[in-house]
Amino acid sequence: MPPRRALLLCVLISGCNKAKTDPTGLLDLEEWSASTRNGRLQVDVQVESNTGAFLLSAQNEDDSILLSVEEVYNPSGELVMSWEDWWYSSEWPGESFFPYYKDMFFNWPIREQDGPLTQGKWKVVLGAVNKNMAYKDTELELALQRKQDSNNDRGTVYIWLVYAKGLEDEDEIREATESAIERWREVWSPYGLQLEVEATEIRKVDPKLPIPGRNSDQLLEASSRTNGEQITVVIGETVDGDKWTYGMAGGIPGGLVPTDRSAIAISWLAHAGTDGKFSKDETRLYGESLAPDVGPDKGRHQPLADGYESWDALDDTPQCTSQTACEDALGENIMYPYSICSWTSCLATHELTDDQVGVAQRYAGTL
Amino acid sequence: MRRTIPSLCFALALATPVAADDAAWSPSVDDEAVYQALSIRDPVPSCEQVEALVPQPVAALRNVVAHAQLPPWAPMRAAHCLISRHGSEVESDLLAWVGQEETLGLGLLVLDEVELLDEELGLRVAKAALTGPLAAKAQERLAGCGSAALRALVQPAEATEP
Repeated sequence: MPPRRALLLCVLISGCNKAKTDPTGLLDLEEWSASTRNGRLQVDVQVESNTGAFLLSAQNEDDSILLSVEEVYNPSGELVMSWEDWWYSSEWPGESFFPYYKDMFFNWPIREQDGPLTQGKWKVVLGAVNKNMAYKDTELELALQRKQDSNNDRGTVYIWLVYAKGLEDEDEIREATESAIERWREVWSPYGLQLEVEATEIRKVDPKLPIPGRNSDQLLEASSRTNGEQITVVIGETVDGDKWTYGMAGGIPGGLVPTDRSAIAISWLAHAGTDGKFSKDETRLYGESLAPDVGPDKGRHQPLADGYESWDALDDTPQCTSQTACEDALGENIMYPYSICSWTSCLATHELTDDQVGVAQRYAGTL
Repeated sequence: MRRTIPSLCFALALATPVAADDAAWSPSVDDEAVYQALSIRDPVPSCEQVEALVPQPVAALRNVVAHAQLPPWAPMRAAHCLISRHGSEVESDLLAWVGQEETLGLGLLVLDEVELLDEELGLRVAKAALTGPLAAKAQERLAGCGSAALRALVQPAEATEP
């Protein structure tokens, strides 16, 4: 659903609570519609001297048409990144260059080596394909957000924390979530990443959360109530119907405009475990799950996947090829995809590499 | 995000300290293999993949539920494998989980997956839940079941055609 329609839907619902945090004004928003031609669309992005990053979002209504970025050109007309750089690579730069979904989020620049965001007109070429990778034409709803802040050393991430129906009143869950947020704050703080959290409960959101992006009106609605700069984090009982998926980010990077993928779904029960109560260690782990789950949303991703055969596209996360080597190098990294545990304890995760921090600081929603 | 399933070579054992109150018990190699597989954060291995690691999966899964404290999702995943694939073998466990406040998380798991059990077993477990400390949560969850027999435990008799 296009963002404006989602917002209208929200406004029409009686008792619709919206974020009260004032936006910083550092993130502008331009929305428009356009049609692809022969399955492609060139989007011009005007970058000013104070633009630190931009986040381009595109949505189409047809589930069978999948969107991605194909090419990025700098103001000099040079091709600076192409889908072909990644499709057959063992390195992964995030989802934007792969047609996985009917919507797409693209944050630029991603990494330091992608070069400075020079002033002038950048061109981003989007592609629309069907599931057989054949180009298809479609109507796109586009949103461009430009960050008027080029400080990549410090930034604040604004969180719209949504409790599903009834959960904010559960003391055990609310208190554990508040403690977990403190752990999250503690983990991020040494890297110049600050958190501002505004919490609310939306009774229309069922505690049994869907996977973000599966046509979830509830996650769409939760994300439509932000102030436009906040990342939506939804606390429910379960994600995707099970009690062990501890959380799932809607995208890598995630969106800031309202879509059903512009949210991170978190399960309180997967963190509370068999007794349904939070021990001190479980609360710590809950915080250490929030940090990486919002990490992917900001564009950081796991340093390895596929059984040590693919890695992120960052220079300072080693391309380790065995359990021992990976645990030695990355076992305490927030983004490491495996918990190193021994029945009654788990290794605390608290590290980020310089390049991982850089990706997070360049995200348009880090202000 | 979920990506493809990696190899389960993670299942090799790590050091295994045991809590003081659990000192008499120590995990076997099979327990350790199952525990390590169930501890993976992302992507989540399937029950079939986990069980293929050991010759006696039910015993190992029960040990993970009983003894693994962290990460909290490991025993929950083990319990799901037991409920969905070995319900009749662990009926006494299921009845215990829905019958005490101390296993609230497991009780909620059983109630949400009660329809994965054989119908007769599901009814026995549901009835036990309705008489225990989780009765209110059981009422709410059973009312949403697809099975008419389970719904009938918490709803007035459905009207029949004249």
